[in-house]
Amino acid sequence: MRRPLVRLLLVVPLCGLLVAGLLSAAWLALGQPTPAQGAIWFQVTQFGDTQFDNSPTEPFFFLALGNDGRTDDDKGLGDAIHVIGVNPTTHEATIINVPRDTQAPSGDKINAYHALQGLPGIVEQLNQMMGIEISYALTTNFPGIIAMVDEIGGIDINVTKTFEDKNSGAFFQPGFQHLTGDQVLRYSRDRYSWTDGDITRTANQADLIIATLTTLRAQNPGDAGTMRLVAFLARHVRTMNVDLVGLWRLGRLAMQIDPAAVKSITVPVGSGSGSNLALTGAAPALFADFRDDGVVQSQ
Amino acid sequence: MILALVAGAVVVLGGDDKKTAAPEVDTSTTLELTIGDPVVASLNAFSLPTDVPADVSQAVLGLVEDYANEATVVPLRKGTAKDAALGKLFDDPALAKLAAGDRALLVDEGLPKATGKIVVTAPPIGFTALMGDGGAVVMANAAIDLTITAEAKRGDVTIRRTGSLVLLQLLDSTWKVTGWTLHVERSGTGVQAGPTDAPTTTVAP
Repeated sequence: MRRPLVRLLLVVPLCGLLVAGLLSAAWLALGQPTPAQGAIWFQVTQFGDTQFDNSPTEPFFFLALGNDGRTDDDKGLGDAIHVIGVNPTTHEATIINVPRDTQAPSGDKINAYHALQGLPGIVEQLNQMMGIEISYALTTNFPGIIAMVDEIGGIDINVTKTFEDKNSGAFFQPGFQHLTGDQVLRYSRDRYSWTDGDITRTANQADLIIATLTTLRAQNPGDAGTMRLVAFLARHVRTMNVDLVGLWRLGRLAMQIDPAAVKSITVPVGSGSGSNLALTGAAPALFADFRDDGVVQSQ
Repeated sequence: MILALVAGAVVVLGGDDKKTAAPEVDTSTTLELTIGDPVVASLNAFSLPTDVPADVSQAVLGLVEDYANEATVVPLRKGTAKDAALGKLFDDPALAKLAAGDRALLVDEGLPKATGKIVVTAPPIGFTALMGDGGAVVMANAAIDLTITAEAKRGDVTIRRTGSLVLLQLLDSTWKVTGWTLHVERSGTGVQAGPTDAPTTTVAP
């Protein structure tokens, strides 16, 4: 499913997921947000009954989704799709980047399921594809990502390649850089600088997620700091079925994860039906490695 | 607040009237903590309260004092902590973390037993309160810097525990410890080397 103008990929920071988003969704137990307090940057939803309780037990899975919706009523295509496995025992994580044109188990492109069925729809497809059970999903859109990044003071990232894309407005040279919200969005949207288009783009988004985690950890050197961050970000999140304490614990766990212990792996895809991308024969082994403990060891 | 100020001066007398009485042994415990002004982290961006209800401050202070008593003073006296007492201080996930390996950091067991007085000193507890829209404090962070000195048979045992305890108000309105970022240093004759940082706590980069 294609949207004519912009196939926008949004970066969804992991820490935005775990710290900013989940953590902050703390709200749930605190009541509905007051709209006047600020724009809603992202939404956090819990699926199923499983909730992380901070015990050193089972791995769990998150979906971090960027959508191109223009309004709250417009779900938008799920164009930036990152499934994140977290192992609470080892404090490791793996980000599985799913190219938006990947054919979903039900036949359509994976990104279409968010536009058609919202988060439950795309979560169900990803669960089927990978054989996992996603417990939490966070989604944001263009204005949300810009505002969120700007509010945390930007993101530091080591740019490893040259971005030159007039379509997204992404022009970056290799080296350490501090990106504003607008720059982060451009970075995450650029697919014309790469011969494989969205394949490299989705990996770039994962780099931003890891960079955001690094930046937030650097800003938040303690439990009290995490609490202040929760309060700050919670003003801008909409939650569904999310428990305050569970989210706070998730965010706290995120702060324990060393960015160096976060792997980024893109789902192996090849030519498929029409413009769909089909999973290659290597995908099942990757997913099996991912689902057993939330971390891919084989790559 | 003084949680425990046990004036346990014990006079040890010999059985023979002709012998000189043994010196008096002071086995008192002094555990007197204070709490600093709260820093409020509020979800309400436009009406930032600065005050925290007194009962919340007292609950936080009381819980930290209880922790210091049950996790340090009691084990120094008895050798081990009482599981039932710890169960009243930590919530279930936190107890699971204790069982998974953090207990050696959070509880001062296996040290030379205190035979004399125990003194706990600390600057005011740093208090951060997470407050919801409605003004209710749902979580709190207690930054601690405890120094415990215990008189033991072979000399003083000193414990310095720094970091933070994350406190949560449960549905029954009781407050319990749900997380921590702690560092501990123990010294003195007969003190075995142990962990100084918990494996499951938040680690700053």
